[in-house]
Amino acid sequence: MWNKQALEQANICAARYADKWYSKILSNYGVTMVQSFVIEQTDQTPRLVLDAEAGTMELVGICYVEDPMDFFAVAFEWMDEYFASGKTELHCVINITYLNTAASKAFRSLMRHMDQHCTSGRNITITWYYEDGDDDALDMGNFYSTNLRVPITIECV
Amino acid sequence: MIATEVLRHYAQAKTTHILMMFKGGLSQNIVVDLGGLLQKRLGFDAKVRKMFSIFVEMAQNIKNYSDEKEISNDGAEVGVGILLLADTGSHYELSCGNLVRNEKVPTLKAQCEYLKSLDKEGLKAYHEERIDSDPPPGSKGAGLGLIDISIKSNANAVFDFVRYDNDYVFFSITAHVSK
Repeated sequence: MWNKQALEQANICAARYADKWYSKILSNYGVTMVQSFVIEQTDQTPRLVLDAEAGTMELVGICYVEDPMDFFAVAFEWMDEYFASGKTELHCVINITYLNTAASKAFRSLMRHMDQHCTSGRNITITWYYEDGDDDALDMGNFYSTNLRVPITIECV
Repeated sequence: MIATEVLRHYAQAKTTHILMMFKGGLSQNIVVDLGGLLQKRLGFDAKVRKMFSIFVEMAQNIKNYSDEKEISNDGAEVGVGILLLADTGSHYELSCGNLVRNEKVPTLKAQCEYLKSLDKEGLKAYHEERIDSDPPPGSKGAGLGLIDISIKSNANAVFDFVRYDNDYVFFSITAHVSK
């Protein structure tokens, strides 16, 4: 299962690098392009939707994969490329119900990365959804919103 | 194994309300499969997720830090230990245990004693401090597992050490989560 996921991810990355070449040509004509894509949820990784057109990043599900930074690296890279293409606004929709400690550390790094983009003048907002009665998901939302420049709105589903 | 012996295991599992027991090497694939088994058996609502998160940290703790090792099917060296999940009626009771080499025990004991000295708010503050710093030397994950187990079990986790032989101590954790 995980190997299949890794393969899909590798294919997506390969497609993105091919696109980088196109985007370079397009940018010569004043056109920039950042790819949008979806990584489907598995039993140990969340669904990740990166939509350059709508300006949204969506993260839904659970994460307790062995090396979470490998998973989150895609979101880091995409975000850098997205802002480098000239976009200034990004809205993140997050509905995470469970992260193990290693994944929570990786996710915290992603939040800090967003903070850096905020400092550079990009406008990022996050809506953190949690299920009614799920104190742990609410605690996580509150925890990630502390010491963060990016505004987080916490909403009960 | 003859029937009386199997019955002894069965009777013990029954009287201690065991929902699941695993003894062996814990690779990441085994952790995920056990996690899937738990979800199939108990669903995945918020209460189960809280129990599940302790279960995963216990399993990954054994995988990364048990000093009894074996080579798993995928060729990785993994830690060996025991994981127990019981249903006490009002609570889920989670226990785990694994061998630790004598020389590592004082540091681990000190860490456990420090965690026991903190209440839930103190544990959360300590977690916040730790998550933004580098993992402690020798740590293979985020170095946050024991803190997370303590927080999720409302600071009721019990850490215990018992002599195994001349070289090893058996380290075990028990935590309760209300159902």
